[in-house]
Amino acid sequence: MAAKEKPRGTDVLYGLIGQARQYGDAIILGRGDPDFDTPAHIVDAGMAALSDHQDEVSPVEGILPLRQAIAERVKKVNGIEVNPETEVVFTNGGQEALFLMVLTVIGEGDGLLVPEPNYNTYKDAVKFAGGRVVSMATYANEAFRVDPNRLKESLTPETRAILLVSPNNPAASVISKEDLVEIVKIAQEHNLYILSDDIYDLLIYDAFEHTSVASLSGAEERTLTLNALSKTYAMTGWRTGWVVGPEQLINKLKTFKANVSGPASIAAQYAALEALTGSQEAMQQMASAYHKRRDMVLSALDEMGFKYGLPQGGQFVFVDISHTGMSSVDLAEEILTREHVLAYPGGAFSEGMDDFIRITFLQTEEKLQQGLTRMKRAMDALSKEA
Amino acid sequence: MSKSMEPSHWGLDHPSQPLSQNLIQGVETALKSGMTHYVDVPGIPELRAQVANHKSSQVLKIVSDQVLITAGIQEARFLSLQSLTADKNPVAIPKVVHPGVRGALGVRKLETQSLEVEEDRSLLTETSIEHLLDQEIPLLFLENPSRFSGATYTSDELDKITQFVNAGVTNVIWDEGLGVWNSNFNSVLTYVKNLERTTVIGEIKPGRGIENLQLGYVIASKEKVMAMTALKQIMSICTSTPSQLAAIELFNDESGSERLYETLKQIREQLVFELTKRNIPVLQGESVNTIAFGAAMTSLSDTPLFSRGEIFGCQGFTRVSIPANLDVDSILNELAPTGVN
Repeated sequence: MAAKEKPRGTDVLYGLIGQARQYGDAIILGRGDPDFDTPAHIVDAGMAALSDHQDEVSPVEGILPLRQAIAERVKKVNGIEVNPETEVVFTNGGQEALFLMVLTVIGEGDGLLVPEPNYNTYKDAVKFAGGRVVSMATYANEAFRVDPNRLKESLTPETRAILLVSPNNPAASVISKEDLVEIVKIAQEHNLYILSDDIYDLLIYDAFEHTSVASLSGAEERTLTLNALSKTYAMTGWRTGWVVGPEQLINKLKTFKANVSGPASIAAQYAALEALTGSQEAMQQMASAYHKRRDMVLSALDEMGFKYGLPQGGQFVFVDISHTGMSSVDLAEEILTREHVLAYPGGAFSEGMDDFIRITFLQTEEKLQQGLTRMKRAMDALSKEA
Repeated sequence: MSKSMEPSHWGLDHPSQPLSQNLIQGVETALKSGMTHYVDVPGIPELRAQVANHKSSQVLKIVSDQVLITAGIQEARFLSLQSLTADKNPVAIPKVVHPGVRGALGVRKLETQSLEVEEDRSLLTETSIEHLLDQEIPLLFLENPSRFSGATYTSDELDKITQFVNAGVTNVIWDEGLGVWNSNFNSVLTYVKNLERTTVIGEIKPGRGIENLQLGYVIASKEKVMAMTALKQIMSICTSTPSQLAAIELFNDESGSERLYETLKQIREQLVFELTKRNIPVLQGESVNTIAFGAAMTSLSDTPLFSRGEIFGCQGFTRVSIPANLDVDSILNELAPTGVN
C-alpha cells in the first residue's frame, strides 16, 4: 500500500467533497448533516412567522420567548440555570455560537487549549481572533479521554481558556463527570474560561452520561456553553443555535453578535421555539434511528476488521486505519475513487489523527448499508493489491 | 452594551409590506420537499444567479461567482470589511455612517480614518473627494445613498470617486442598500468596468417583506468572494435556507413594489413640508424611506423607527425610517423642545 503522506488540512475535505459531487451515485459518510428533514410542525411554525411575525423586530439576542425556552431546556437537560433576559443569545447556528464564544474570550496572543482531535473550525476561529491554539493530545487507547493531568501539563502562560467538546467531534468520546470536576478546579486555579460545546448532548449511547461542565460548582461564572438544533432536530439549513453563560460574558458576546451579523431570521427563531416547546416525538424517533445505525456501522466495521473508538455519543465513529499503512487522506481518496463512498480523513481534524477516518451515520439504513458494502469492497481490493 | 449600540436602536433601514400567501406557500413547499439542509456556503445557486442578474448593467455583467449571500446587511458589512482588511490597514469611512460599520470594524479593532461630509447631505465633501488621490487609502467604505440622510452621489461625484479607484490605489466598498428608494439612483456598477477594486453590498429585496429574514449580499471579484466565503464558513457555514427560499420566490414576483414607493414619497414630502414650516432643518435626501432632521424626539425615540443621529456621527439630528402607515402628526407631536437631547 502507498506510503504515508502528510495530511493537507481542512482544504482536503472540500477537495474530496468536490470530487464526490462528480459521482451521481456518491454516498457521503463524512458530512455532519442528518438525512432527516426538519419535522413538519417546525416548518409550519417557521412559515407562520412569515405572516404573523413578519414585522417583528428581534433584539440581537433573539426574541424573549425563545430565550425563555432555551433557558428551560438547558436547565432541564444540562442542569444549567440562566436568566433568559440576560444570559442567553440565539445565534445563526452552532457555528456562529462557536465563532462568537471564541471572540468573546480569546484576544490577540491568547491561547485556547484544545484537546485533539477536534472540529477544525475552532482553530480557524482562534486564528481570526488573533489567538493561538494550545493542543493537548488524547489517545485512542484511552478512549480519547481528556486527562486532567495532561490538560494541566499542556497549559502555557498564554492560555486563556479551555475548550471542551463532549461528545467530541470526531472522536465521539464523552468527558466523564469526574474528569470535568478536576478540569474545573484547574480552570479556577489558573483563572481560565471554559468554552463548552454540548451540541451532541442528547445523543449519548450505552451507559455513558453527559455532564454539562457549566452545571458544576465553580464553573458557572467562567463557562460559555453552546448548543444548536441542527443535529437533533434536523435543522441544519435553518441556522439555529445558542450560547448561554454568565451575564458579563454574554454581554460581551452580544456586542460581537450585533457587530458580526445582528439578530437571526425571525422565521428561524419561531421554528426554533416550536422545536424546543412542541412535540418531541420526531426528535426522539431520529435519536432512536441513530442508535440503530450506530450498531449497523459498528457491525460492518467489525466485519472489515477495523478497530474503532467506541462511539459514546454523537453521530459518527472514529475508525482506526493504522493497519492499512495508508494516510487517512490516501485511504479516503481510494475509497472515494473506487467505490464513490466518502469518509472524512482524520488528518483533516488534527495532524496527529492521520491514522483515523470519520464515518457518520447520517444516511438511511439502506444507503448506509450500501455505503458500507461498497467500502468493504474497496478495502478488500486494496488488501489484495498490497 | 449601551442601548444605543443595540441594532434595534440602530433603527430600521427599510419599511415592510406583507408577504403574499403564494410566496409563503412556495417556501413551505420547498422546505417540505426536503430543502432544510445545509446549502452552499456562498448561497443557493439560483439566488446568487438572480442577484447577479438583477445587479448587472449594460456596463458590467455580474455572474454568480461574484455574489455572496449573507445573513443580513450587517454580515455583509462584516465580511467585506474584515476580509478586505486582513492586513489590518486602516479603513477610510465617512464621518457620518451607519453604526454597524464602526461595529464591524471594531470586532478586530481596526483603525479608521474619518472623511469629512457635507452637513446637509452626509456625503463626502468635494474636498474629501478631491483629496482622495492625495492620500494613501487602502480601503474606502462609502454609502450610496447615505443610510442617514438618504442622499445620493451625483454622476459627477461618482465619476470622480471611480477615477480614484481606477487609479489603482484603493479598494472601495459601496453600501447601496437604500438605492431602491431613489428613483434616480445610479449604482456604481453602471460606472465600473470590473470588480477588481469595487465591492458592493446591500439587502436583498428591501421593502418587500423579508427584512426580518436577514438577507444581504456582497458583489465582488470572484477572488474576494472566495475569501469572504472562507470566512463565512467559519462564522456561520451558510445563510438560513428558508430566508433564501423566500428571496427566490420574491425575485419571481415583482408585483407590489411601486405602490409602496409612491406612498412613502408622499409621506416624506409631507414631513419635509411640516418640519420646514417649523424651522427644523431637514437633511437633503432623495430616498423616500428615510428622513433626517435637526431635532430630537421624546417618548417615541426608543422605537425602531427612530435613530439618534449621534450613533451615525451626526449629533443633534434624528433619523426616521418611514413606514407605509406612518402618522405624520405623531412625529410632529413628539418633537422634543429645543435643547432636549
